[in-house]
Parts: sequence; C-alpha cells; structure tokens
Amino acid sequence: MSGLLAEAEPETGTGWVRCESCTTLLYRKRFVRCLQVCPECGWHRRLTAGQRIDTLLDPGSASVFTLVGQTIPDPLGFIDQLPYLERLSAARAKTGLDEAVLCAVGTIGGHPVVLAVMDFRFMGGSMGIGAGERVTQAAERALRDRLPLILVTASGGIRMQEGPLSLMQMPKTCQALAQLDEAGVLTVSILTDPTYGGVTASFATLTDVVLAEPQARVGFAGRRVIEQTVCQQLPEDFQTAESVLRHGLIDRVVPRPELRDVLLRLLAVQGPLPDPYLGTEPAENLSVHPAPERDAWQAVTLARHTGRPTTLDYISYLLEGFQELHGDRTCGDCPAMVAGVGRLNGLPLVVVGHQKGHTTGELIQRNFGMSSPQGYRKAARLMRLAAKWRIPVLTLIDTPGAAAGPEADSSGQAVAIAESQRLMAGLPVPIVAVVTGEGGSGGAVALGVADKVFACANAIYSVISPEGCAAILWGVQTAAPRAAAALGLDADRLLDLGVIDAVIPEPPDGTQGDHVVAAARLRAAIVAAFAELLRREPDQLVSERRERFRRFGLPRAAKWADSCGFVKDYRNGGIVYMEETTKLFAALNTGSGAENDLATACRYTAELIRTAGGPLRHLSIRWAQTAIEIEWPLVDPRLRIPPSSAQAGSPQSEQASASELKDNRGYICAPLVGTFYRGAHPGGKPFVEVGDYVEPGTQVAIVEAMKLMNPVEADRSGRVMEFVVADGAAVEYGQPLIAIVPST
Amino acid sequence: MFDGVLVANRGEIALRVIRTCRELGIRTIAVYSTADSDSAALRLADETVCIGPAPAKRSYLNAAALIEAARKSGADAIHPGYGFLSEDADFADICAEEGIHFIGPPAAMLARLGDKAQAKRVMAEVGLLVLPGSERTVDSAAECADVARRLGFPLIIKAAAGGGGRGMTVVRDQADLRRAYESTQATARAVFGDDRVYVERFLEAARHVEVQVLCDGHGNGVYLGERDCSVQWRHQKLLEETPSPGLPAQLRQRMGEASAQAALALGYVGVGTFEFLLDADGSFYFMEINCRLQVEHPVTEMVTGLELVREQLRVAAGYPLEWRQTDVSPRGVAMECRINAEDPTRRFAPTPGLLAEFVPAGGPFTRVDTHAYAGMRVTPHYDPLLAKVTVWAADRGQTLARMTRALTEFRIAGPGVRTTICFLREVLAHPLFRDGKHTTSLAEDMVATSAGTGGSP
Repeated sequence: MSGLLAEAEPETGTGWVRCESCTTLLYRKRFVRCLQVCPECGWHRRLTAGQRIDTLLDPGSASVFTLVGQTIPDPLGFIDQLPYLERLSAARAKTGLDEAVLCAVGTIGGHPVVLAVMDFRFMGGSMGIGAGERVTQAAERALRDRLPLILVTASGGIRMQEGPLSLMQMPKTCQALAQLDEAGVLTVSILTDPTYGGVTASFATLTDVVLAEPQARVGFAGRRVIEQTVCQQLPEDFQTAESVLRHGLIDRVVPRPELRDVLLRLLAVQGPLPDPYLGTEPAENLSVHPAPERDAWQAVTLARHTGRPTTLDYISYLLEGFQELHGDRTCGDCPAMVAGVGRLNGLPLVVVGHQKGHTTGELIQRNFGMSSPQGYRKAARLMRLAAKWRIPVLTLIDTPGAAAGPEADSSGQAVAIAESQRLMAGLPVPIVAVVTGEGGSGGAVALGVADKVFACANAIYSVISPEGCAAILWGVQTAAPRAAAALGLDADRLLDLGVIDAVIPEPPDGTQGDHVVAAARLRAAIVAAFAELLRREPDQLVSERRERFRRFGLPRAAKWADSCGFVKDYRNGGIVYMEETTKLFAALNTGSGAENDLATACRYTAELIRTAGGPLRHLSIRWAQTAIEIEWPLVDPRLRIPPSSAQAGSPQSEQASASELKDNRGYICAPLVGTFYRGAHPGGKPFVEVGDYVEPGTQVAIVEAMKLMNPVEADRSGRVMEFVVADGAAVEYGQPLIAIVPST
Repeated sequence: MFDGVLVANRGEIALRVIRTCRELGIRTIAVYSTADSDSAALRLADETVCIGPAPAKRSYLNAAALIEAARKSGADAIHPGYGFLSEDADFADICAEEGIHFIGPPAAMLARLGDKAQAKRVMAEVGLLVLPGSERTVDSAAECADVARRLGFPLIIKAAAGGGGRGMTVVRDQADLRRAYESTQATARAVFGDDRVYVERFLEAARHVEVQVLCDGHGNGVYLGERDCSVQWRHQKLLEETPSPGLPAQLRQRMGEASAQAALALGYVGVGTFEFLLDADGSFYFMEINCRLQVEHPVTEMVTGLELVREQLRVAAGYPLEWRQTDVSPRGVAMECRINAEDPTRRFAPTPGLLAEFVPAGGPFTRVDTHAYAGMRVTPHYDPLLAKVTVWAADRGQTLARMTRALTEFRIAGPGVRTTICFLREVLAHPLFRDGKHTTSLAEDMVATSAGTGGSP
C-alpha cells in the first residue's frame, strides 16, 4: 500500500493497535498490511476514503478528480447549534476532504474503473448536494468513458442541513445509474459500515452487483428508530451484512482482503475478451446422437441419480473465474438455484441452474433442487444483467419441479415462473439451455426458453413426474414406468418432438460414472452452440427464439406451406432467403403429395451441397409438407466470436475461565501481560478504592501494554477488599490484581 | 553475551535452549500458557511469566505479551525456538524496535525468504536450481497446456490452497492433462473453496535432503553436512539421519558448497536449513529455506560435535565463528526418531491424554530430548511431539541397531495415548529403508499396504 494509507493514519505514538472487537493487541504494520482487518477475529476497521482508494486500486494508478462546476454551498442558511457552514469547514479541516465523497479513476488488475468513495468521518458520510453531485459526476464520467463504476458507501443517510435539495440527490443519483443501465456499463457497490437511509435507498442498492464487508451494518431506518416504533428488541444480527444477504438484498459478503479478487472476476465480464479458442473445441456432439438402449423408466431413474454432476459441479469443470451472486433483491436467496458469472473458454457468460446435491445433507440444504420464487427471481435478475452486459446465458436444468409449498405459492411461485419465461423469450442475447438431469415441469421450463435446448442422453423433461401421472390417470403409483413410457419424457422422444435440438451423449454408465467426460461433452455442445448463436443480431435471436416456441404443437412445417423455401446458411450468419432457391423449388415442384415433395427436396438438397462455395454447418430446407434439416459436426476453425459486452472467543470469557482455572474466585485478574495502574494514567485518580462496590463490567484498573491502555473490568459483583498488586507493577497474564468480597 | 534470554516457546525445545543458556551462564526466562503451568521448562528457568490462555494465538503467538514479558523480566534477547514466531518477520521487527535481540535472522531477511515463491526467485538469483513450474497460478486449461509444453511430463498440478497431500494430481501424459487440470480445480474448489492451482515439474523418485548452514554477521559461513528427511507422513517428518545414505561424497560437497555460497550471497545470519528435492539423476532443486533451528538439529550436532544453540547465541550476540569450513569434519552416522503422541493406525491422528507411564531410553550414544514425564498431560492445544531420540554410531548398520534398541526401551502408556514408536520400528526394519533406497513416499506406502499397523508400544 502506498502513500494515502500511511498519511491518513493517526499517530498514536505506539506501533500497536487494540482490536475494538476482540481486544487483541495488533502490531500496526501487520494490521495495516491486513488492510486494517483484525487477523484474530476479522473485525474491519472503518477506512477513510483515501485509504479505501489505496486498498482497491492498483498501486500508483489512482487519479483523484474534483467537482466540475459549482454547487450551492448553504441553500437554506441553516443554523442549529452551530451554523452549517461552520460544521462544514470543521469537517473539511478534520478530514482534508471537500465533501463526504471522494472520486477517482484508476485501474484494478489493469481494468480501468471510476471509483466514488464515501468517508464516514465527513459529517457521518451524509449525502447533501455536494455528495450527490460527486456520485452523479462519477456516474457521468463512467458513462462518457464507458468505464465500470464502483461505489463504496458509508453514510448515516441524507444531510438535514440542505433540506429538500439533499432529498433530491436521491433521484438524481438513481437516474444517473439508470443511464448506466441503458448504456450497459457495469456498476458495483460495496456497502461498508455503516450504510443507511437515503444512500441505501438510492444509488447504493441500484448497482448490478451489491457487495458488503463482513458485519457492516446496512439498513434504511436505524435500528433504534425501528425498535422504538415497533416497541420490541430486534435480533442481535439485525441489519448486519450477513443478515441482509440472507434476506436477498445483496449479492455477497466479501472480507476486505478479497474485495479486489471479487471485483476482478466481475470486471472480467466486461473487460476485453481474451482470444477465444471456441473454434478449437472438438465438436463431436453437435450432431444429433441417438440415446442409448434403455427404456423411459430407466432414464427416469438415471436422471435422478444423486451421483450425477450438479450444476455447481459442471460450473467447476466448465467455467473459469466463476463468481456466484445471490439474492432476488426483494426478500430472499434460494439455495436451490445457483446464479453467477464466469468465463467459458474465455467467453464471459451468465449461468443459472437448479442445484441438487450428492448427499442427503446437501440435498436438504438445496431443497432437492426445487427452487422457490426467490430462486427464479434471482435467475431473472442475472439474466437481465446478461442482457445489460450483452453476454450470453447458459441455463442448466435439473429439478424435480418448482418448490410447491404454501409459502412458495403465496409468495408468487406461479408469477415468478411465468415472468421468467416471458423474460427469456425476449432476452436479446444468446441462450443455451441444457437439461442435465430432471426437467420437472414448470420449474424446468422456467429456465428452458432458449435458442438451443439440449438434453443429456439420460435426462428427462416432463410435464409431470411419472409417479404423479400414474396416480392421477392410472389410479396407482406403481404404474409409474408405464406412465414414463407414455409421457414422452426421455431424450429420444424429446428429440422426435422437437423439444430439444440435440442429445449430449453420456459416459457408458451415465454422467454419474465420469464427471470429467460428462463435463467435456457438455462443454463441446455448449461451445459450438454459442459459437453459432453469437453471430446473430439480437433481434434475429429473439425472433427465431419466438418462432421456435410459436411452432410447438403445430403440424411440422405446415405453417410454412405457403411461404417460400429458404436456406439457413451459417457461413455468413443468419438466414439467407434465397430467391433462386424459391424459383428452383417452384420449377421442381411439379408433382403433388408428400412423397414427391420429399424426393424433390432431397434432390435439391444434394445439388445445393454440391454447389455450395464453402463448408456448410447447417442446412434447413422446407417445402410444402416437407422439411429437411442437416447439421454438420465440424466447426470451422476460422470461426471467431465477435467481441460482446461476472467471532473469536471474547477475551472476557477467556479471562473468566482463566481465573476459574486458578480457582481464585474473589479476584479480578490481569487480562494480559503489562503494567498495572489503578488510575487512567500513572498517579491519576484510581478507578475504584477499597470498599467500593463493583459490578460485572465496571472498570477497575488498566493494564498498559505496548503503550496502549487496556481497561480491566470486573467480572463479578462485590466490594473491593484489597489491591493485591502495587500501582505501576509489572503483571503476568491471569495474575490476581484486586480481591473482591462477593456481594450476598 | 546476553544478560537474560527469554525462551518464546514450550516443550522439549524450550528445555533444550534453557539448558544451553545455563551452561553459558545466561539467566533464562521461561514463558508459558495456562495449559503449560506444570511444564518441565518452568522448573529449570530462573524466572517464569504466564503470557496467556491455552490457545497459541493468545499466548505463544502473542507478540505483545512476549515483549511485555521480556520487559517485565529484563530479558535482552528472545530465542524463538522452532515453530510459533520463529520465522515471523513482524516479530523480529518488533524485537528490533523494542531493543531486544531476536535470536535468528534479521526481520528483512525473514520477510524476503518467508514467501515460498519469492524465496525461490531469490535463490534462483543466487545460483540455486529451483524446480521449474508455473511460478504463479494457472487460470485456464489453455494456460495449463502452455505451461506443460514448457515443463514437459511428468508434472504435478497442485491446489494453491492445498497441503497435506490433498488437491494434487500427477500428470504423466498430455492426453490426461485437461482432465487432471479440471478435476484438480474442481476438487480444490470443493475442498478448499479456492480453485486456483499451479503446476510444477514432478520428480518420480525424489528424496528430501536438507543442508545445515551457519553464518555469522562478519561474512563467514559454513555448511554442516546434510540431513535426509525422506521418512515423512504428509510432509511431517518422522525420522531424520545424517549422512544421507547413498549420497556420493562429491554430490554432498556440491550441495553443501552451493548452500553456503547462496547463504553468503544473501547476507544470511544465523542457522539456516536449505531444503532440496534430490532427483534420481543427482540434480538437486531448492524447495525452501528454514530460517531457524530445526527440530532435527541434534543429528547434525552428533556427527559434527558442534552445539548449534550455543552457536546461535554467539552469532546473535555478534561474535564471529570460531572455525572455518575445513574445521568441520562430520564423523559416523546419526539418526533421530520423533516420538509423537499420534496413532499411526488412524492416519497419525493426535492422541492427547494423561501419561501414566513415561520411561525414556538411555545408554551409549543415545540422547533423548524430551519435556515429558509420568503424570504429564498431553494437551490437544499444541503439536504432539513427546520426545526425540537421537543415536550415534560409527556406521549406519550400528546406528540402526542402536536406534532399534533405544526405541524398544521406551515405556510410554496412558489412557487413550498412542505413539509412533511401533511405526518407527517398522520403518527401521523395512528392507527399502535398511538399504537406504527409500523415498518420500515410504511412509505413505507403508500405511497404504497396512504394514504400519502396530498398536501401542
């Protein structure tokens, strides 16, 4: 760490710092190296804005920028106990800052970013005109230069002294972030202790990804205000980052030393793409493979095998730099749904999928892969981010069905599933869906509206579980195997029905037999699909996706009977309507009836392949009642992806146990090695005298160690009987200091 | 020489250091946690200070408490022993700031050599061979393939967060590379929550050989022979000997000279140990340097006749070495066995408990370093080392016989307490070991083939 951090450090005359949480004495140099996080208990000391910039940006890259133009200094002429302008200049003198926000540009791991950091020392980080304007100007700078915006918050809320104009900073910053959403610029906020009020209720929580430091207090209304309003005591962890995470309001809690790593993974989503080598992937799985010999019921059993790779397993094998993100930003985070960003052979993408588990414990923790509405809303949130960032989406489907409890139902399970399908149908980025195991009904199709839908050879995709179907239509659950055969749920039938585009072959015993091979085949299929889809324009993707789902249930090609023939030519991207083809078709189509159509189409297809100028990947010919679709397995190696836009034990308890070990009840003992003083400073007025009454927590003395004054507190109640140690004496750990007569 | 030395450690090494100080007429201060209030070191020291509760973090690793204890007792030097704060650059720095001699290399040297990757770069600069590898973590399969092209096969993929033999895959063939990379990464993510891996050349039949060096602050440095530490369980050494069996005299000299030269080039001060992996072809690759006294230092003392703690204290006090390289002439064969309160039949799980009986071995050329006694409680808070037995004889055959005899004499028993003695005896009887042809995989192989299934002694 360079200059800023060291400069802002108050000089206390000692090389040591006392942890405010666990009271351990910490060597300052190490504490600073640990970014002011206690290595013993993880306590995060608040940083100044300058220190924060220093810890986040690459050394030497930071360049602080100041406000452009003027703001009104004191619009109301506000005076409380002091004139507002006096308070302002005091804050400026104390912090060396103009306002509660400091802006800078710099790099993180080489990625240029715009950074706006709040400083709680400046009038409690309150947001007035100056702070709001700075955040807004930082956002505008990010917009102008198309640079990711990172906001670090620490604020008590809106600044009262600037009245309504302070309040208006909330919409001002919100709309600044909305513009970044429209422009597809990555935004990240880091909530630090404390972040409250109008800051939480504006820009702090409107970013693409919201991170928070451990134990940071984050909320809208202050804890005491709420307690007084509802007249009850709130739980200990209320409004901590960890609790807010559980409630789905933020993406992750990230310890300070890991912030840069997480930011790097997120920045890689937008950064320049590494040279992709999608084209070098073996593409054996692109063609349509028949499923192995087994009946539908066996497929059901295999699809449910707990040894099959889960979504997180596939992610581990397939993706680099995966960063899981959490929460629906409304009320919860569903463990049965995994969502995040990562890179597939260098290609950034969003991945969402149902998560099961291998052991009973994992399955219970993941609710057997049955997602709640919160899960679908989290997936939808990530898919919207993919659209904003212009990166593709991969969905992995493996669920017995959506969670079906009273709670899920009343919190909008049906709505969440419906909205997910609508969202996917219009998402302007490529989507590939893979049914890796169980594709259970609505809970599966909620992630299934894709440009390419694949299924593993033993996967199933079904309107209802065979058992459920058997119970309803056969009247007995034992008819499940018959129901399975009838439901058309296995990969072969799905392929016949056009519900899936291809079957991904599995290792001989199923994917559970060899995760690595299963993942490699999945990778090949996905990579080839994205290689193809990334060459289409967004509106073309959407219209083709909608066509695909529009067609389901109609007689094959019937819809096209009246239209012209066309060839999908993947050499140059997209469908090319070929007038000549149409003419040729018309000329050849002399006979009538399906047989004649087929013979004609085949002949023409052969002719077309023969005369085509380069390697074809996919050919699709439809004429009258006939459709022929041919796909070649080889991917052109020249094919390139166009760039597109991821508490330690309290010392008190140890003191107590130490003193009990020595069986010296009746004594207050030294909590650490050092020098014992009865008063706040040598020769000062003693905290207690013989005869005084003390209670647990009463300060009775200090022990000076490394020039820091450590309070000694009574751990019992009673009357001071005797000072066992002289004022100014060196004491060891656990040494009896003061004798106490217990109160009766 | 120092006026008072505070020994910032516990167990046998605290005793070991206190004994030398007493021989040199130096006042000793022992520190202890509440879990060690009956320890043997406290009875030998001139003064004792309780520094904190049982957890090492709050006692033996608590720098502030140690400094305050030194101040309270008037110590002008701190001997850190091994483990705990012995290689902590910050602690050496704190001592320097407080005007207390830290018996070990200066803080800047510890900081420079403390990071393994950095130490390798430094050693490469001063002319030692280091095992070729990826240097930093490998973040994609493509990058892994690039590294493999450069390194050749076999290679090993290791989880950055790994250790103890987990999260490592040896790859012998290009065809297996991608699979190994992906599965190591997936395992690393699952086991350590961190999927970063790095890649290194893999040596098939490597031996672990380390060279002891000693440098004063006046530009003099010597090597004191080597120690073979190939008998290891999950990187924990169980038995050490010197000289390394079958090591050609020329190679021994080359390793020693290379180490001493590297130490001098660095400006190293104090005792230090260069750890090497020795390939079958005689190449030796620098692995890491230990900037402290080693647990197994007695074997070097036995063959050289030098008292390493005395040398440490002298060098720390600013005296020059009293002899040159030509004065060092190791004689005979010395071997050390570590008797741990661990159960070899349960993958060396620690077995804390009360020692109902503890009778150490004795006899000619048999040295036992121990803090244990009948009635002592082995706590789960610290490492499970009970005793080190070191023997010397003129040749390896006699040394093996003497060690076997000494191990047989030990009587250690207590409810729930198991020791490594039986396993060590099986090692001594193992044909590969007897022939001196064993490698670092010996102990693993013995456990795998359930040869090492001996019960309690």
